[in-house]
Amino acid sequence: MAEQVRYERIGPPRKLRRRTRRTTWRCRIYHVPEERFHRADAIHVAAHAVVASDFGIPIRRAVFDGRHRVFEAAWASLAYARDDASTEARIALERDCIAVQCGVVGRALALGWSHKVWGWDDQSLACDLMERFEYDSGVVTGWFNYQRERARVLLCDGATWTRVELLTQRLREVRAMDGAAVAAFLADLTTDATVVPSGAAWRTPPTPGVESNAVLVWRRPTLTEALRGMDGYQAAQQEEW
Amino acid sequence: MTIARLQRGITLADVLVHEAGHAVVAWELGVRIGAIHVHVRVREGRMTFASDVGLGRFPAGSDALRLAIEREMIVFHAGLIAQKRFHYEGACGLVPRTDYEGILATALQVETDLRLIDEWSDYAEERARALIELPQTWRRVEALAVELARRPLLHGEEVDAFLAGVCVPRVTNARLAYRRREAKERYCLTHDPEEREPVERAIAAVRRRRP
Repeated sequence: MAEQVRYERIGPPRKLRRRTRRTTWRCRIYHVPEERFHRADAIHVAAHAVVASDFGIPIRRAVFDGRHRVFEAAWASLAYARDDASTEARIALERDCIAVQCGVVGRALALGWSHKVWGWDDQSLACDLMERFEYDSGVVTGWFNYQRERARVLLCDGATWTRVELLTQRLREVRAMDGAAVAAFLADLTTDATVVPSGAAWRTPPTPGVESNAVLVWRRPTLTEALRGMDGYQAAQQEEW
Repeated sequence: MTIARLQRGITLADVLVHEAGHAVVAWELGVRIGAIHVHVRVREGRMTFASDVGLGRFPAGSDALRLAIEREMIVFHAGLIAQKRFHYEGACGLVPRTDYEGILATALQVETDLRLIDEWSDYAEERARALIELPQTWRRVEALAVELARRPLLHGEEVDAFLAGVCVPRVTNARLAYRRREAKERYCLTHDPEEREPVERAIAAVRRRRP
């Protein structure tokens, strides 16, 4: 006869049990006192500022003083009424959201995904802005992912990234800049060479503690994968490292 | 399993709905339709439209060009979305190569990053789905599918005139209707064969009446 399993013994030891019912946690990565995280934070703010400036979004202030990192702008899409379906409204919204996403993407490029990068505040802002015009959650999600990829492509461009790096240095010196100061700095900028981000923005890292040992994985193939004749299993296998 | 084998499960009604999906979404988005041609015997269809992107009407790198590309991507995706909504099992695993190649070729005019194109295509697909799921759009798709069974070749002007004359349900508040439906069913694509039965019956009746 098989040994009876005592189910109450399965689970973490009593001392390690969760004390509250809380299931989500704010990422504390911003308070790590290490140079590369400080730099990544400053790049976060500078990336917002450079892309917002390129898109003509009026910047109110950009602050980075070690403890606080703030970026405020007058988002153009808020000038349009809710559920406005016009082309201008959609363009304004897309530009706003790309500028918002650039912060997290810039940080990801700076750290090279050596750490997980979350941007709850930015993500919430982008979703709030989108939900003014779009009510379908599937469309909002698809749009969000597309904007994030556009932000990545924008920042990986050498000319843009060089300006982000230079503005980062400036921001760390002066600690706070208003819209006029950012515009003046970017307008006067002359560079002899361009730099590109050293790290890759996205990848699926094989973190043993996070990745499960599940074998049968299916993922819907993307457009280019489908055109290459891949099915869902092959597409999923491609992500395994 | 290959696509050719899967395609055996596609009925004439599926093909008609697929082409009607392309056409109705093009009409809704203001894309000029060339013609719809359905080969009834081989169960094959084709819809052509005038591509603003291909004609070079927009300045390179402009947002207007991106939006025009996006519109055309939505039109390309609408066929399979409509087919899935009509007969999900029949479209399962199907890869409409011509449509997908059209999307890729259109997107490559402004972007070279394949990861970005994939996400863009996913977004366009979601927009096509949201559009197809609107009751008035779906009513037009069904009506045009039945009309295509009657007349397998329709020119752009004929399609425009037909769709303008279709009586559709009026939705007063789309946002509210969406919230209600979302609360009701999490996944919006219908799998109910009873819903496609009237359309299939109408198509069969039209086919019987044809000389």
